Amino acid sequence: MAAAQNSTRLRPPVLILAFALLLAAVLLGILVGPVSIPPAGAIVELISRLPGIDLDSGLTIRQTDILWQIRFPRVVLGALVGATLALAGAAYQGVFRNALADPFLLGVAAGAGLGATIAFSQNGGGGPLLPIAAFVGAVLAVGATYTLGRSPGGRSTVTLVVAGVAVTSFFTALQTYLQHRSEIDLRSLYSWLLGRLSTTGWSEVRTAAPYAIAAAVVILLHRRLLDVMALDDQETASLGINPSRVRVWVVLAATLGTAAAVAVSGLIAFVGIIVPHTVRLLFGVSYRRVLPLSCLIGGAFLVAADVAARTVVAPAELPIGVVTAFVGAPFFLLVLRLNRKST
Amino acid sequence: MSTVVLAGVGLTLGGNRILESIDLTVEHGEWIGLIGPNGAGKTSLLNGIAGSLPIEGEVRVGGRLVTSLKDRERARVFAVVPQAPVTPPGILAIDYVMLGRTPHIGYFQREGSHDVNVVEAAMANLEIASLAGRRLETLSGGELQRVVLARALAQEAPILLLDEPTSALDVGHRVGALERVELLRRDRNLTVITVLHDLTLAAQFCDRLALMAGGRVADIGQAGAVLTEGAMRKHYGADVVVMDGPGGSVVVVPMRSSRSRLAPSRLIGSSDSAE
Repeated sequence: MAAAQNSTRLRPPVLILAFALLLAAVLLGILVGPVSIPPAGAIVELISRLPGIDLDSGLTIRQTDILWQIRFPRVVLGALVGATLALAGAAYQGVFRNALADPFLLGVAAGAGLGATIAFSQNGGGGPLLPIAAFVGAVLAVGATYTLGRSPGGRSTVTLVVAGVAVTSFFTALQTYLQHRSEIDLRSLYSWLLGRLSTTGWSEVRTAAPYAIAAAVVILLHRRLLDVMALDDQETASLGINPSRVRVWVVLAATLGTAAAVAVSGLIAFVGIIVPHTVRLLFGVSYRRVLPLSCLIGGAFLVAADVAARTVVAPAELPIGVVTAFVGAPFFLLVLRLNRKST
Repeated sequence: MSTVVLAGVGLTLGGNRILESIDLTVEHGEWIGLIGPNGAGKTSLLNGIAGSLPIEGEVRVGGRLVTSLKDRERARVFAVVPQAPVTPPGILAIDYVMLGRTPHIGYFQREGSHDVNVVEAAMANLEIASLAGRRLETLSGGELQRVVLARALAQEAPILLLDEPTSALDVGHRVGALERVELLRRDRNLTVITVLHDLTLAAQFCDRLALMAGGRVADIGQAGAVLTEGAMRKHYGADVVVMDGPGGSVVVVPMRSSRSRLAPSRLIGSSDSAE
């Protein structure tokens, strides 16, 4: 019986590997940039920020400022957004039993896009209103999808997805109308719609972190129940779990996290699909592995993508959504092919 | 203990009357077979007993109303094996069997060593310990059937509800599957309710048969009394020959109908004309 190892538990070596990947991406993100910072000095500087530790990193004040006010907030934001989008994607895929579900399925993107467009039309560059407007738009869109997706026998996956498509079309139409009606700086609006990680100090991280962390806690608590949900609703119920209740909590949490991520970074596509699928291919399908690993690897992926976005056309910057889509779309097709082969 | 008592059970789904005033008592440790033609309401009755359909009337287990049980309590009373269980690809057999422990594991907790022991014992009991590390999609029909049964066993519920446990199996595996259910029933003193289409096997394994037709229990009793040529013609619209089998059991042999042999075009309507 010793050979009969249960495969759902996350084993330490895998977890350590994912952590190492995230750490490597973070270091890369901190060290790559127009102003060179010695790696050893950067590491010592970060460690010295921990409470109770006082070390001399040997960095100049300018280097310290770049590190602490520009690069580190951006890397942390990337990790936060990447982790949230990947986790939310995996969660949606679990509760809807649909491998292609992603955080934008329920109209989150369209809703946030509409909110952002309104913010842009009121205030040229979007301004401080932007994250709030995007957030409100995303929550409204998901609320609309969820209400329309009700069917007499509860909420079926199909009606919900169809409602998501309808809501997306409607919100996109409104958004396009507004863009034509009012004088908007289309260039900056599109840069937001394509997704970007640009920070002013720590304010974006502070805006998104509480929601992202709350969402992550709720989703991760449900990891074993999502494995039960892989059966159909009736079998899930016969095992003593109310599938609708699990779905409501997980969808709410995933939407909250996605809205928070979208509000600070725009629409970064494909992270919610690429990362969970890679994790499944490498480490198995159990959500007890997929969820925590998607979180860590999602963070690492987006930080690395941001490094690419910053360096490919330096000194200019690509929208990070372009990088994730460039990597993600071919990968998505690869996943489809592999899936077809194995079933 | 786990005597199941149904009183006045009815069910309406989407405007259709599915079940009508069913009274039925299944004794503790008894094996009841639900038989009857397609659409008679057998699966609905099974799901109604398990509490997953909004039935009228009362279902009591050991005196307690099933509707008064919490979700998890109910799942510790009934283990249900549907006709076509969902077996998600990529999942290992042992992890699938572990899903049966769900009602015993706290909502946000994970399995303990006791749960692992129960799962391993259930798999050993059904002689599938060697399949533990196999993915579900690589298993044969017979292996999969045992894995699904092991999941129900790991649930440690006193009442086992099986919907057509043999439909996907060849004749050898059919007998083997029912033989395993019988061993488990004796071993663990389980109450078993199964939907079965194979009347001859139902006659051999079940203590009593409940013949369902049109959402009602048309007849209930020992196989020899329920499985008559007249009842088969009336409720199934089928011509059968009922013979005495070895060991006092009865054997139901379907016969090609004389009517359809003469006029094949009437075959489609022939089952309705028996009403």
